[in-house]
Amino acid sequence: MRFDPVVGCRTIWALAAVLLLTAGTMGCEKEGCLTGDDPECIVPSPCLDLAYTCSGGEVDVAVVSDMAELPGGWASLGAPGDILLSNDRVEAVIDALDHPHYLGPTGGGLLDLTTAGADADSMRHIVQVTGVLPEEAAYYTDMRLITEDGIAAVQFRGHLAGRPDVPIATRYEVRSCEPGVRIRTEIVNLEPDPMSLFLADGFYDGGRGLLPFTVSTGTGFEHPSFGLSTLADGITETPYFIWASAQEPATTYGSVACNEESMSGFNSENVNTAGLAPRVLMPGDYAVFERFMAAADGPAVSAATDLLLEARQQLFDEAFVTLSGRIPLDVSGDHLDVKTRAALLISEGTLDTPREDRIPWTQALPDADGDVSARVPPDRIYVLELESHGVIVAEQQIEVGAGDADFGEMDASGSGYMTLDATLDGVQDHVQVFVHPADDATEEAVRGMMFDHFTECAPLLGNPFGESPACNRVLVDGPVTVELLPGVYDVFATAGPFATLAAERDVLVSAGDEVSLLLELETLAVLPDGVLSADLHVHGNESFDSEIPHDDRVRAFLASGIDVIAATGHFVAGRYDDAIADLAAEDRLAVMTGVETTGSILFKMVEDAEYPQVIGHWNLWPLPYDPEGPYRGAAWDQLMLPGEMFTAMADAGWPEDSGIIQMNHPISYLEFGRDLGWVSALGLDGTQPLPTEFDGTLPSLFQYQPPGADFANSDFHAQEVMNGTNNDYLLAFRALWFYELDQGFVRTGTANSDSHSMTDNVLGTPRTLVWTDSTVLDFDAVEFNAAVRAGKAAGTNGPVLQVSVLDEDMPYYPSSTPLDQLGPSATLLIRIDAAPWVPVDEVRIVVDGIVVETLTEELVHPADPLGVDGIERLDVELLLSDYVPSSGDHWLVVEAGHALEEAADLDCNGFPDTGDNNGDGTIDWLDVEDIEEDPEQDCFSPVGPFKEPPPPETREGPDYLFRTVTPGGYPFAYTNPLLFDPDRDGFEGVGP
Amino acid sequence: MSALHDLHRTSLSAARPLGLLMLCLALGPASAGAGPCEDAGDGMPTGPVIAGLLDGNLGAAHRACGRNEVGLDVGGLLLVDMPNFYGRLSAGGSLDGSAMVHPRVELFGRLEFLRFENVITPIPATALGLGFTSVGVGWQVLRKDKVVLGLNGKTVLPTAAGIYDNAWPIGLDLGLALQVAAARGVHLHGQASFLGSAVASKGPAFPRAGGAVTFGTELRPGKAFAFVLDLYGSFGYRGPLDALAVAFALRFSDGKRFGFELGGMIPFAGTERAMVAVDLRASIRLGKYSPHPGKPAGGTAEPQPASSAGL
Repeated sequence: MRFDPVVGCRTIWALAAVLLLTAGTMGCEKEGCLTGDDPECIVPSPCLDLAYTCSGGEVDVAVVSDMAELPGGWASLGAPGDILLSNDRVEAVIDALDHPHYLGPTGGGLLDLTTAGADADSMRHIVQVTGVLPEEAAYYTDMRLITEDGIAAVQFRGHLAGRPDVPIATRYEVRSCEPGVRIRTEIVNLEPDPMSLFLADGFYDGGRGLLPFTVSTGTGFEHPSFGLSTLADGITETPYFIWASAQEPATTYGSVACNEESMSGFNSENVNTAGLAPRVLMPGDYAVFERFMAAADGPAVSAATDLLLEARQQLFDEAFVTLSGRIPLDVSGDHLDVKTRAALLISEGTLDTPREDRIPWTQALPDADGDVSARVPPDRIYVLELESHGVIVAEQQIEVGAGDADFGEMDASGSGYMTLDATLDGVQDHVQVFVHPADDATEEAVRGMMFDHFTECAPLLGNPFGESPACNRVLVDGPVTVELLPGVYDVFATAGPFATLAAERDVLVSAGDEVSLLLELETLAVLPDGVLSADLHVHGNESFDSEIPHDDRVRAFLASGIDVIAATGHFVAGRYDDAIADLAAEDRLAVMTGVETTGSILFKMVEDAEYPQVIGHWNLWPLPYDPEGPYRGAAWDQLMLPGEMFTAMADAGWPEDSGIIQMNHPISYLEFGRDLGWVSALGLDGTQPLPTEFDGTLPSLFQYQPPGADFANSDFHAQEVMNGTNNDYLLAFRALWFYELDQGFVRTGTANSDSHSMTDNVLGTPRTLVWTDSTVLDFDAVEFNAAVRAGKAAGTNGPVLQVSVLDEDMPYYPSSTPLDQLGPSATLLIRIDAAPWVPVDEVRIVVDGIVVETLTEELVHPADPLGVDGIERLDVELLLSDYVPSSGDHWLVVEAGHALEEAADLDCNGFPDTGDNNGDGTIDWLDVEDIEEDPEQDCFSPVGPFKEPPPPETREGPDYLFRTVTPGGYPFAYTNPLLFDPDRDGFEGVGP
Repeated sequence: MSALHDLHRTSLSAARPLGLLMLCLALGPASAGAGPCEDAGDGMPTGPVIAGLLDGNLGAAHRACGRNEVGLDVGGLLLVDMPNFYGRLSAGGSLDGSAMVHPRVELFGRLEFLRFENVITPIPATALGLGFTSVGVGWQVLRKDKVVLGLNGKTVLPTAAGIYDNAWPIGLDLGLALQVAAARGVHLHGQASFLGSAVASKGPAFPRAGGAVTFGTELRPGKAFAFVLDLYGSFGYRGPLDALAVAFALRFSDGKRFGFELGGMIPFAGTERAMVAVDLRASIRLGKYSPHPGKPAGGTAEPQPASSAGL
């Protein structure tokens, strides 16, 4: 055969033609915005197999122009400019492109969702993600409203953050009669390499808010634990996701995929995801995720599950039946939280099936009449578990066939009741009551955890992170009845550390019985005149991780005896005006609007950074409250260094001449890969001098002024030395503060509760005492903050320290202004007062970071910790020259309380990190939680945790009393430093 | 004794192959005397290194000397990009075959019957299934005593259903291949290619096009062993400079029908992020066995180039 070159050429070109023809043919069938480059594209309507009918339905989409158009609710955060999507059953708010929230680098996320007219928004935020890295979040650049016949929609187009070659588009749509929002997200990989695609809705939500519920073996409210390096282990496959609101008025949400039969996602304390299973997206390939996001009234999982099973019936021809029955509730407890009293978990399996092998399908709550019902798949055997006060009180098995079933009646009426009332100085006032088991048997019987999810409480009186009663705590300002499991209890009432502690011991509560208690407290003259006690770091439900209603927030302020609050919501400025007015508390409480900036979107803080990070948390106050602003007066605070963020806040109205910037919990842990503390993020080495020049490294950012910023990163005025009630990081904060003082870097040390609820921390414990001429009645924020800036402050969770230097009858107090003229006869005066129930075992005098004197013998201990006598614990005058050298710069701090817990610096960064957790008397790798093998190095990481002081051995004595109202804490107070600069050349410290 | 003869007796330590290559290149033209396809008489693989960086072996140079052959191939690619928390492990198994349908025309094809993709990020993902299929044709347009010049074309068919969900990738590769008999046991080869790809889908066509150049040498010091070293460059497909890479292969033959190739490609410049691509291939010549290169025993074994041959 002779080869014909013409044939050869034709053969080759024929192949090319076939190829091009194929591409061209396929190119004619483009869909939606998948091409990524058509500005006129429309994302198709999702979930076309769904159909709901009703009479008189309506739909609407509009850009919000007035706050009155927006739905309300404790989590609502919409603002003018956002997009309101509504029909006759739901209202949804999608944030405007220039209103990014939380993890979203732009707007386009679902910000609020509630049933129509309910004003019960319980949703923080949903953003579309394709993974957990910052560049895997949707970055929308274009918004378009769409109205079609019976359809209202809004679509957002853009690309992944930092990845312009991965276009993404999302359409939110409502149709009349539908109890939710249809959502379709399209994404295309136009990068040259395959990508791992986990296309999902990312819920940014503190662990105390919406409770994720999944349907797979051993899950329900339980979710597999994982770390950032083992995220895949935490992914659960489920037919639908539910998020039940723990706080009422509640909306419960559910999401079901329309184009896949199952969904996948993980649930962590702060971020939940619901999407399609992770998959490889090859170059040129695309993916579509269609889902229906339902919203239902109330806190029950079943409210949303019922809707989703109905949706799945339409989408996938899956049947469902209704399982119903009765759980009678005692009438006398009707005003109490139903979900705490009786919650029915319905799981596939038998009573013989180990709990971890059952498949929870839904959870139902009885209505006011005790009737309960929930939809479940047919033809299965279910176990019904009835939880009351965090404890399983009954369970039964039922076989469900093809039709509806009735399980009969289950009994949750074994509780008793306790009516609490209290007086302060003989009149009814706000107090906080703690209920504790009085014996081990009661402890064992009543210790429970709501929905297997929240903090363990003994007893569980209500949602630990919601309104009162919460966990084992009750706000009382008049008789309040709580329901609790039978047992013997100790009941304590506190009005803060400057009042007595009232106690009723060994109170027997029997099933069905009610006991009444009156707890009487007295104010104690512990606090000197001219001092305001302040909590400069608190959260209300404007924070994404707080659900406590503002009324209860303010009641907790009043019950703690606090004078001044810096209301510092995460991302969003806080304020409690309405609640203060409702409670007529204007004369008892001064509130400064503030914000806690909360690094959430990871970015590389220096060019050569190994990992993207965030800048930790910072408080700024006061801020002008703007109820119509997307952040209520604060500025967007992501993807910027502290100096840039300070500048943004100043531009938003934070007064740079008189306001305060506070570095919060500067050394802390990672939360979902985000450093909570700035110093931890920098990896500052406390064994080296503070870097003064920026050299491209993270530690050198500490005092760096970013280009274009009006502030340096170190231009903060205060830093927390105490944060939280349990003192856990106290030793690290203290060491950092001392390290800074040693180098002449003087910032006011503050003490704050960082309270988000009644349970995580006790509001006002600890607190900052500020010496100021301002008063609550005539509060002057400028004057108050000037005192804070000047270091005229002390921190405490009980003891009140008054320290001064007396030199030739002239007193000097702790201040950022150094003493530059001292005679040889100058004395150090230390006075300590404390309520009798606050133990003060030792007083430490610290000079230049070294404890130079410990006073114990001189201390007076009250005979009756529940009495009113014995407040004055110490009043001494010491010769200052015995402690402070007469030349050179020095600083002096006085501390009082318990001896400090032992801790070691195992990672050798100069700051302690680990306690003697195994109690063997040595702090080494065996005490580190996350190390299982000897690292065989002198310095290593990970490290921690600090050791929480062991609980008192008996239920008697001041230590026990202190712990009953200061969970996890031990007494500690400190002054701000006295600075000495005898050379008059400016205080420069003593060197690192 | 020629230098090349000495070379046959020289042990090929790992430290010396580059020196040997340079020696061969220097001496090759002076000692030439065999045709460019003469070593194709047995199962020893020939032509450029087959390990490639692109899906469907797009851009990979094809040998100028055709043959009848079937092969089984396993290969993979590794990408580790720590700063971006990205990794990729790709592996596949393929069947390939070629047939001389004319003394100058070779049809060839490759079926990736199993493809595994693992993308390693904080949330990793895997895919497993049918991979890429390609078919092509090669045509020797010029045959001289020491030179064969060929055109080849290859199309990647939309079969990668195992790793694509909503798109059908297609590709085209047109190349001008060269094989030069530089000396006995020393061949030079090269190819300049145009490559293009697109996807058929409801989304974007994602058209990409570029060029690739391969140049290298094969050194066969004995019947059982050969060594190949190539330089590879790709342009315009994923960036102005996709990759500059070095490719190498160790080839073995039993001197009869069977051949083995263990090859790899290591990019050292360009936007390509892969660290290495590797390939292991076993092949068997088909048709009647010709123990004496240059004297075909019949069947479709390729004829020797003749001075009269050519366009």
